[in-house]
Amino acid sequence: MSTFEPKIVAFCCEQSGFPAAEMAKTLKLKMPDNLELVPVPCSGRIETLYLLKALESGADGVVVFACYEENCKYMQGNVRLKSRVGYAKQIMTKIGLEQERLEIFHVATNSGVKFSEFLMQKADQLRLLGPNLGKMA
Amino acid sequence: MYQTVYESKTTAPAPIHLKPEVLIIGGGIVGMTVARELAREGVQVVIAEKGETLGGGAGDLRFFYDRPADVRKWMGELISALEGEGNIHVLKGAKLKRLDGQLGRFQALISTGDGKERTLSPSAVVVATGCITLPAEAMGDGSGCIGSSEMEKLLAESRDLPLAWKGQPLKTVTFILDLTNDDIKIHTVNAIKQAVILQEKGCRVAVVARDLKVSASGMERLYRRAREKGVLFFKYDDPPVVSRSGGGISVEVQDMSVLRKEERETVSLPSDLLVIGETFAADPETLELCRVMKLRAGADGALMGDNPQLLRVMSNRRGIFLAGACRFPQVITESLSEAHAVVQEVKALFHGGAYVPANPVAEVDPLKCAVCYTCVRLCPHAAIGVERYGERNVYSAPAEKDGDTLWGAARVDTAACFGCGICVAECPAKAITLYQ
Repeated sequence: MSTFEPKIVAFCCEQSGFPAAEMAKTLKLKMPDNLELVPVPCSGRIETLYLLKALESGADGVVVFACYEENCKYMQGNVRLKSRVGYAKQIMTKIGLEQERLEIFHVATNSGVKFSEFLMQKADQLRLLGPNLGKMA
Repeated sequence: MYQTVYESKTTAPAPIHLKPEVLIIGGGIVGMTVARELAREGVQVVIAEKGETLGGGAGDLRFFYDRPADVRKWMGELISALEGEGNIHVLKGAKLKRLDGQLGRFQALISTGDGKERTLSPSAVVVATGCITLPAEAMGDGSGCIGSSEMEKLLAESRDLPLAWKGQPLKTVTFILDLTNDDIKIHTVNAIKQAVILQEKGCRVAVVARDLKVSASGMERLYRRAREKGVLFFKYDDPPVVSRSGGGISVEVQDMSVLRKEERETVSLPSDLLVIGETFAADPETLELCRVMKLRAGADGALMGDNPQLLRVMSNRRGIFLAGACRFPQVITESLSEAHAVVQEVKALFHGGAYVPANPVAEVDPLKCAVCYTCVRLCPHAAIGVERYGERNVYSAPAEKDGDTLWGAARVDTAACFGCGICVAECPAKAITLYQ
C-alpha cells in the first residue's frame, strides 16, 4: 500500500484557486506528486459531469478550489457549484463511492499555504481510503 | 501541463461603438458631481431625478465635518453650474420604466413629471439614487428626543443666536449613537461634528456610542478637537438607560474606561436634549429600479455589497455603474470619491470610442438551443436574451432546426458577457461554448 500515490484532480477558479496555486508554486510549497490542475473561469463553470468524469477517468479524489461565498466575481457561481457538488455526491453515494473523494475548498488569492496544506491533507486522507474503485482505467 | 476549458476561435469579436452619452439616475450630490465632471469631458449627460428639485438626500445636511463651507451654498453653486452647462439635460419627476439592450445600445424608457414618455439611448448608465432615512427611534416616551438631521437644522438656524430648543435654553445635550445601523460611520461623523459646534456655543455635550468610527479622512483630528474642547465620550455594551423626572432627562451609562469590571460605576448624564441617529434603509424605489435594470441587491437592499473581486462602483452589468448611498449609507466625502471613481470608469470605458471584448465570451449554437430560458434566467450579468433567428415563426425541435425554420434561440451579447461560463455548465442542451 505504501507505493499508492492517489491522483488528485483540482479544479481551480481563475479568480481565487488558480492564483493560490501559482503562489504555492512560487513559494515552492509541498504539493502531492500526482496532481492535475484544471483552471476554470469561475467555479460555476464546473458541471456535475466534469466532477464524475474526473473520477471515472482515473482520479482518486476531486477537489474544487472556489472563492468564498459572497466573494464570487460573477455573483453566484460558487453557490451554483455547491448545489452541483451536492448532486454529484448523491450520485456517488448511489454507486458506492466515498463522499470524501469530492470536496469544495474555499480559498482566496493569497492563500497559497492553505492551498498546499489542504492538498497534502487530502492526499493523506485518500491514501488511507485506497484507490478509487470506480475508475475505468 | 494544464487542461483548458476554452475553445479557441479565430475571428475576433467585433468592437462595440460607444457614443459619449450617459444617463444618470438620481440628481443628488453624487449624480450632480458625476454629471458636471462628465460634461466637462464633452459627454452628453441626462440626469433623471424623481423629485422636482436637485439635491437629494444631502438636503438635510448643513455643515461639512471637514471644511467650514456651508453645504447649502456649496450645493446651490453646484446646481447653478449644472444649469449653465450645455451638455447636461435634467429630467424632473422622472421614472425609469424600462431598460433594454446592453452596453453601447441601452434603450431607456423614461416617464417624466409632465406625463410624457421618452426613449433615450445612452451608452452607459450611472445609478446614484441614495437611500432613505427612517425617523429616529425615540427612547422612552420620546419627549426631548430628536434625530441628528433635526439637530443639524437647529444648529443652522441658531447660527448667531443663543441655543434654544422649544423656547428653553439648551445647556446639556447627549448624543446616543449606534442603536440601529451599528456598522456605519455616518452617525459618529455627524455627532462629533455637531458636538464641536455645540461645545463652541457653550453647551455641555456627551456622546454615548457603542463604537466611535473615525475612519473617514480628517475624522481623527476632529475627534481630538472635540476631546480638547471638553466633549465627553462614553462607550456602551448594553444600551444606556433613559429616565425622565421633573422635566429633565437623565441618561445612565456604565463608565467602561475602567478596566476591572467590578470597579465600573454608573454615570448619570442630566441632559436637556437627546440626539439619536436616524436609521438608514434601502429605498423601495431603488429596489424597484433594481428589478427594472436587472441589478443585484444584497439582503439588506444595498446595491452590490462589498465584493473583493469587483471595484466599488461596478455593478453586475457592464456599462452600469453605482455610486453613493444606494450602495450603503455613507459620509459625503466617501460619496464624492465614489462619484469621481465613476467618472474615471466611464472615461476609461469611452476611451477610444469603442469597447472591444477582451475576456472569453460565451456563444450559443442556435441549432442546438431549445429555448428553455435556463441561461436567460441564471446569467448573473443579464447578458443573454432570446432572439428570432429565422423569418418564419414556426417552432421546431432542436434536431430539425435549419437556417429557414429557426423559431428562436438564446443569444449572448458579447458586450455584456463576462465570460464566467456559468451558462455553459448549466445549459441542458449543451448548446453554449466559451470562446477565448
